[in-house]
Parts: sequence; C-alpha cells; structure tokens
Amino acid sequence: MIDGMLHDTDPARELEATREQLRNLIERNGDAIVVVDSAGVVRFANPAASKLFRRAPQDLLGTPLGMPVVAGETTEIDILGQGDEIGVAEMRVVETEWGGVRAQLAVLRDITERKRAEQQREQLFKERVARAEAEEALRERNEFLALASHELKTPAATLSATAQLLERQLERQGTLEREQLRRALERLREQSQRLGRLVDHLLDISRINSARLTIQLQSADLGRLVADVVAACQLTTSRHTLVMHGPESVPAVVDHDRITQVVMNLLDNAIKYSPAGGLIEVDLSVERDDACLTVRDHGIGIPEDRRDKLFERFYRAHPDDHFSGMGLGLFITRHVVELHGGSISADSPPEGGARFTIRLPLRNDSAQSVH
Amino acid sequence: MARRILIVEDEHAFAEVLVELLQDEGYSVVHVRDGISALNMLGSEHAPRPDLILCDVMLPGLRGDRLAAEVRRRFPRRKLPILLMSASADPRAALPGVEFMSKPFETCELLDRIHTLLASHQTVPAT
Repeated sequence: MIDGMLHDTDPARELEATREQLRNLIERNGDAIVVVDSAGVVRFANPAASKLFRRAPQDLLGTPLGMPVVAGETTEIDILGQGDEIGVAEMRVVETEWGGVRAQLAVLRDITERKRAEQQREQLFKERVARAEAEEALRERNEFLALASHELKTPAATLSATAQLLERQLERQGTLEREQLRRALERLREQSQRLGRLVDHLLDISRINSARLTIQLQSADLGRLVADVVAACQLTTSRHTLVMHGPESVPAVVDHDRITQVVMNLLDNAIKYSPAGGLIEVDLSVERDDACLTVRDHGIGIPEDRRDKLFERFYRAHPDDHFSGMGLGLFITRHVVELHGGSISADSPPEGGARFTIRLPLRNDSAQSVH
Repeated sequence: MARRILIVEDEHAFAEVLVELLQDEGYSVVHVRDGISALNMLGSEHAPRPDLILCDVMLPGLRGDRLAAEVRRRFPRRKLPILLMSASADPRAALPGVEFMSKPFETCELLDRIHTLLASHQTVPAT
C-alpha cells in the first residue's frame, strides 16, 4: 500500500482505486517513463514519453528505443525540440521487472530549457570575463601610452631646450664658445640616441606582437661583442665602474646586433637601478655547449615577489620610484634570448643588488633567419 | 642681487640645460635631483634660500606635486612660487602659487612664467 492513497473496506474496489491512482500518476507524470526489455524493445511508455519522442504510443511499443539503456546510469540524450531544434533530455535508468522478466525502467525529463538557461549563464559569464579582459587590456594600453609618451617627451624636451638655448646664446653673443657648443652637441647626440633606442623598443614590441621579430644567425665573437658593449656603456656613466671577466674570444653563432641589444639592455638596467653608482660586474663563461653571461649590480635589487613578472611586457619592478623606462627592455631581451634557444633569469643575491643570467647555445644548427 | 631658483630635476641632461639657460638670464641657480634633497635644503639654516622652485613632477621618491604640497605645509609663510614641469599632463595638486608647464616647452615661455611668478609673489622670511 502506498501512503496517501484512498482506502476502501472492499478489497476489490480498493485494488481498482489503487490501480486507477497509479495509472493517474504515470499517465499524468510530466517525466517520460519507459520500460525496455533486455533486447532494447519498448514494453511500456507513458503519454509523456510519446510526447518526448514525438511518436504515437503504438509506434513506440514493441519497437526498439534506439539508444543504449543501462541501469544505474544517468545520461543526457538528444531529443527533437521545438521546431527543428535539438533538445536535451536527462535519462535515469533503474532495473525493474516487467511481465516477470528483468527489464530497464527509464525516466526521461526534458531539460532543454534548463540547458539553455545554463548555456546563457555560461555565455554571460564568458562575456563578462572577456569584457573584463578587454577593459584590463585597454587600461594596460592606456597606461603604456601615457608612459611611452612621457618617455619619448623627456629626451625630446632636452633636445628642444638645448637647441633653443644654443639659439639664444648665438643671438646674444653673436658666436658660440667652443665649450658651450661641445656640451650642447654631446647632449644632442646622447638624447637623440636615447630617443632612437625608445623608438627601437616600440618597433620591436610591434614586431613581437605580430610575430615579425626575427634574428639573423651568423658567426660572431661573443667575448669581443660583450667587451665592446661594456666599454660603450662605461662611457655613459662616471658613477659606475663596469668590469668584465671571461675569455677574450668566445666564438658563437648568434645575431650580433640583437645580442648587442640584449647586453646593452642588461647594462642599462644595471646602471639605472644602481643610482648611487658602484661596481657592475659582467661575467662571460663557456659551460659545455652554452655561453653563460651574468650581469651583476649592487643597486636596489629586485623584490622577490616581483621577479616572476620581470620579463613580462610593460612590467616595471619599481613603478613608483619613477625610474625612466617603458617596461619593455627585459621583455624584448627575453624574447631575443629565447629566439636564440637560450634562457634568461634574474635573482637578487643576499648581499644586495640584482644579477641577470643569460644562457645562449654557442652554435645553432645553421646560420639562418629564425622567427 | 640675483633671484635664486631651485631646480629639482632627476633628468641630468635636462637639468643642465635649465641651469645654463637660467644662469644666462642672470638667475642664481641651485640644482638637486630629488624632492627629499629639496626639502632638506629648504629646511636648512645654512643653505641659500630660493625665491622660486622649478620642479619636475616625475621625481624618484617624492613626486614633484607632493613636494609642492609638503613645501606649503612645512613653510606656509614663505609663499614660495613653484613651477611644476612634466612630460605627463597630469598634475595632481592644484595649490595656490603652484603652476604647471608641459614638457617640451618653449624656453621663452618658461622664462616669462618665471618672471611673472617672481614678480607676483613676494617671498617673506620663514619663521
């Protein structure tokens, strides 16, 4: 006896009433109820099943259901939805008996609307994430444009002011003193080079973004290349002492100009982030098939929590200290090193300062252009 | 007696030009590289007292606009004119007697602004 059913004192009438109630429960049930025998043939289907499968009851009964029905499993099956749409039904299967033999009782519920709502929620979530990412990218781009604009205007301001100063002096004095002119020309040269480097960085970023940054591998002497860059950078600072250790000659197959740029970026950083001056050590060594280059300064170092992002685009480890820079140098450096099949890492030794280490394969398979 | 200008600028090359330009115009010029050094100089009994501060905004450590606010807070009676310069057009502080110029600029405009500021601000001794 099922709880909640009507009770009658006459067993026959009670049985009939119970049967009627059960029929009601099954026929009016919104879930499709199907009994399938061991051969997969439908033995019973309620009206909801007929509606779900879009088949008349007589077409369902005695015909194969057309899908695997496994007891204990809950699966989702495609059904015909509204119009030509494909809907989804959830099917739960339990074992039962039908006519004294084992069979499967499948209860199917049309979950098309629920699925659609879920998909809409997912789509909405994806759109929100995409919008947030787009806004973040826009914010990052705007910040970068503001920073790039500031960085480009700084040497431009010095160039402009130097030229105007010369004009004023020439107008006032009728001629220019040799020392005035020498100082001005030196300033113009340095600031033009600085402007050129900034523009080169911007162009490199554009090339990296469009996968057009390439390297031209050729035979080069890394020992001489590094020594030349060290000597050139020493000329830009009187507060730092740049010292190089390592073999004079290290034959390698690299892109000479790009590796020069890499070493220059590292030395520029070492100089910039040791504002009090001091020793900058450059070590070049050969370890098996790799060249290993370290640049060590004794400056402000790199906070541990910022090292991971150091080689990312636009990242600056000390953004609030207003050190000049667009946060591109190390990103480009990493990219060039990786194009050579090498690697770059950074750490701050316990005694302070920063140390950058580059490993470059001495030889590549052939001298060719690499993207 | 020459009016004295304190230049606070971390860009060495740009500061050099400003020093030469202002000295050519007859000003006495002192240059420091950061805001803390400027505050130390302003607070010192022995350091020469400037009549105007020409200050970059994007300075290491203490920004130029914060320096201007700090000068107003620490030395309220001096009414020292301050001219901020920046290659970014985002001056954060709008304080009385603090003006702003975008880099790059025309040097004649800079000289005019300095002249006007010095003429309109009468510096008084600090207490």
